[in-house]
Amino acid sequence: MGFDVKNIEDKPEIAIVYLKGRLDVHYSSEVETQINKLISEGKKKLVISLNDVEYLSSSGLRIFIAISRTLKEVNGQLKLIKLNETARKIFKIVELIDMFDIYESEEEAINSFM
Amino acid sequence: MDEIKLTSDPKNLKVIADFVGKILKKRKIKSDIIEEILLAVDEAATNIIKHSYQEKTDGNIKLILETGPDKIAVSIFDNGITFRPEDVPLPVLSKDIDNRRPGGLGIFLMKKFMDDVTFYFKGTSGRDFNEVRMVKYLN
Repeated sequence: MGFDVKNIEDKPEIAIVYLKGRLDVHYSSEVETQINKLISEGKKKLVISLNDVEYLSSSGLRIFIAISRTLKEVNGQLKLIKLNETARKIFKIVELIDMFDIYESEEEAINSFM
Repeated sequence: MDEIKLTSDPKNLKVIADFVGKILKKRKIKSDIIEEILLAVDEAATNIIKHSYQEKTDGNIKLILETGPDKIAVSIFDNGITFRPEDVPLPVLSKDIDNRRPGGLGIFLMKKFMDDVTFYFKGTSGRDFNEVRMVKYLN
């Protein structure tokens, strides 16, 4: 399990979060706590990379819904990047794929922030 | 038939996934089928940890995996509080994220990925344990 954050020098509101490992109930609650901490520190524009997420459960889906709602309350935005085939399949099945802004690269996601 | 017994510690979700995944790989089940079964098993075990054992980490869980030429069956047993899935409303797959209920996604995914999902409850037909049995047909 891993949780790394990259900041962008001239864009203090943006943080890129790299998740790693199994996004099951165990790891999801930890991730949610860490991300809420980032939001409370003023990171209102979040890019979350799922590149190294080897497994995604409904607990993982739930935190993306929760984070999206929290960010909306503070006029923030959430972008997801690098979903693998299985993650995409799960997002599609629960009809969440169109509800999130999903990009292939960090650059695309960062440039899409308004 | 393969069997594993463990406690309701969320860290054991990975142990369960490794156990089931390894056996199914050895049986040369296709990787996309394995992924679907692992997801359903994880969701079922998560429900046991969260609902049957209310996140207590010392509850007993037993998993039995049966692999046949035409189907894979997984039964997971627990001795916690009877969790009736019909008490959890299935998610409303609305277009609006704000109206999404947080619960029910796990059972929804279990039913999507497996062909049969049956719950047997403690206290019925002389049972002293809960069981969720999930079957995937291979054809």
